[in-house]
Amino acid sequence: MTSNPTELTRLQSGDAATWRAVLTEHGPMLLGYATRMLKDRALAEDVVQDALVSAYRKIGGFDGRSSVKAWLTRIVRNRAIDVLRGRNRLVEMPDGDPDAGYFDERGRWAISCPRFAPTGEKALDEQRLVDRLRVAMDALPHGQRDVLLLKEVHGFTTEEICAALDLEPGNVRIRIHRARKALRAAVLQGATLEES
Amino acid sequence: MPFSRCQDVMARVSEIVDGEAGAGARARFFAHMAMCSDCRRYYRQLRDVCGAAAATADEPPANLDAMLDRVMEAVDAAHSDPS
Ligand SMILES: [Zn+2]
Repeated sequence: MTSNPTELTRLQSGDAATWRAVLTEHGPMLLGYATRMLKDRALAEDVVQDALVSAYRKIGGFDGRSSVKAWLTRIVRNRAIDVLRGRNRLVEMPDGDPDAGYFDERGRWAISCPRFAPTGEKALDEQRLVDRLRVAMDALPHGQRDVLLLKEVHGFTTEEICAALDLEPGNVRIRIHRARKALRAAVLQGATLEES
Repeated sequence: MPFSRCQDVMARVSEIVDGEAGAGARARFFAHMAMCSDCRRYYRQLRDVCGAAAATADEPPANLDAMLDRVMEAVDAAHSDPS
């Protein structure tokens, strides 16, 4: 989705009312996203504030090929990653497949697919799953956490994620798939810890 | 049609969850689900994880307006200063 040209022209001319409307619309999402990336609310506020002021300065160079929302997210994301890297807290993505060992050489299940709730229960109740998911998401590498936050929590389309993360659509789909597998594996690991 | 490899079926599971797979791929996927309890369990887990992930969202912070005011102050200052 491209930007609304009228809105973009107003933003580029520094129209305060349009800026306030755009920030009011996307601010909660940007702050929520940055908080989950940085795991520090105060730091996230600083990062988002700096990113938005920087967006204001740079919007003259924005071509409007993506939505303003995706463009703002990209600025916030890059700044958050820089901060994490500067503090040596950026968790890089592992090379391994979280489902390694599940399948044999014929592509069949080598072991039975493990249950989230090994001892008797049929399924996790909703609240326990959400609690466990939150912990699991916060523990994921940032390259997987960002794609899941944008996709599952903030409802970004693949196209918006491409623009926000500067990736091709095929690449985004692969990252979403891998990130979901990693999240499922992390929930499973949490389940094993809870049961032991 | 030979019994599909579970690994190949599971490689498509994200597309199914997102409703991005075509009708043929969907039909093959769910035909496999009907026969394979392990893939069925995996699919349900992934679907539940995706569905519940949205519920991990935080409440919007109460002090968001204050932050936006600070941004707007900086923006106004930048706007009135042509340097
Ligand atoms: Zn199977």
